[in-house]
Amino acid sequence: MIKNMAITIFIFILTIPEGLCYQNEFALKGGGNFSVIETKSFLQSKDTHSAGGINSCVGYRFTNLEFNMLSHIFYGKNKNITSITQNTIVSGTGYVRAISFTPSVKYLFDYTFKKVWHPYFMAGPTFSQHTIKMENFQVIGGAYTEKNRISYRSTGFTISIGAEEILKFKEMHPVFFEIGYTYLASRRLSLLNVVNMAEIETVSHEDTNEKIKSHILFMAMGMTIF
Amino acid sequence: MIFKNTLIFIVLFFLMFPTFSAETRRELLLRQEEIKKSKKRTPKHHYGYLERKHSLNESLRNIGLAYGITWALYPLTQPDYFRKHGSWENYKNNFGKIVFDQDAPFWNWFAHPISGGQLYLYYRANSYSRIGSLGMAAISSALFEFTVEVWQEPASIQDLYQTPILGSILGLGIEGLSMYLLNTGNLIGKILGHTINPSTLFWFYEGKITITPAFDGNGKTRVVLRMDF
Repeated sequence: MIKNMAITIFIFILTIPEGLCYQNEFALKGGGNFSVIETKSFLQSKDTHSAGGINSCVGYRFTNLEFNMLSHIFYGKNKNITSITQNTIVSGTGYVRAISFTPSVKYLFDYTFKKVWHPYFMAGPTFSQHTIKMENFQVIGGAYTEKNRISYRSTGFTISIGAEEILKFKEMHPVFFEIGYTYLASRRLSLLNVVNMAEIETVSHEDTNEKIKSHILFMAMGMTIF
Repeated sequence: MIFKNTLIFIVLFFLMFPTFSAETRRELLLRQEEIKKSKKRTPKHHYGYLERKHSLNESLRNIGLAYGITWALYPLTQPDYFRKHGSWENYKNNFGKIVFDQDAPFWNWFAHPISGGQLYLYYRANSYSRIGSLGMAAISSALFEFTVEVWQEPASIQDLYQTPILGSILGLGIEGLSMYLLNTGNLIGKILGHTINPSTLFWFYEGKITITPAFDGNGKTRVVLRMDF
């Protein structure tokens, strides 16, 4: 019953003809984001923290379809994370900076909301790198100092829904807002050593198949810059 | 008697003074308004950006010039690191690889966007549209990552994306500020404008209009605008 209703609503939305905003053009978009991140790492440690940052996106819009390269940069503070790389085990709080790239497909529905907004759906695979600078930490095993950083690469996916302002020309800087979800699972964990600002060495690394998992709920808003 | 008259004159003079002063102030204010309306610094040049189509040859020439400049500047920006970590062996090993780099935020979020911003402004000076300049900056940045920086390290995903994208956003801000400063017509404005947007100083910059006031001798004046491209 619910499934049939959902299909009916989906088809109804798809078939309402309304005007679209600018088409067949490249565009650059940018804005800010706010995320709530739940991270499950080694030894069943679990952490939920918030993060803020900027997002940018460049791509080409046909009529309803848009192909984009989307990037989120965010910065936050972990309250409890445990990391194990080879002989080094460290646990504590730390500042996290992360960058993610999502080659994405976006579908803009013809349906308009309040005659001003086009709803859209976006999805794509996500590739991400998190770097953690531990602040209050306990070294359970091995050697770890304030000069060290923990970095892990993850892959996953992102889905989001949002709405974009209907304006005929991108030069009128249409704004958008969206909410989305990103799932990330770690692939490689590295222990870094900061020699100086220009030189960061990788001390050790190992493949960590899905040992650190992140669920990210995010809100983003911004505008078409040009 | 003389003393009394002098005293009365002085008192009257001072009593009149505020009225006189108010009149003067009003006149001054009115004159200032007139000055604001009529008396503007006339700049010798107007700075802006043209947008036109480019042939393939022209675009290849522009990319070639930017590429040559990156080969010349790259070793100069970090000579020690270039010598210590660069080699032909590295070049062969790193060629064609793409990785997530571990660089400090200073490089990824500051240095690369600044260089990307200047690339964007270089192509803007060559009369590419904003999105065209972003595209050309992306090509130049990719060439640098895949064929220059591999001397030391593999091409980085962050740099490939952030140099042209964040660079173009930064470049757009610099573009607006530099045009404002250059069009003020004053020396400090021009120095600052050219400093933050050095591409406006070179022969390839096509958006400079020379403004020449002309008088024909019969009481008629005109302004001649000349643009070289």
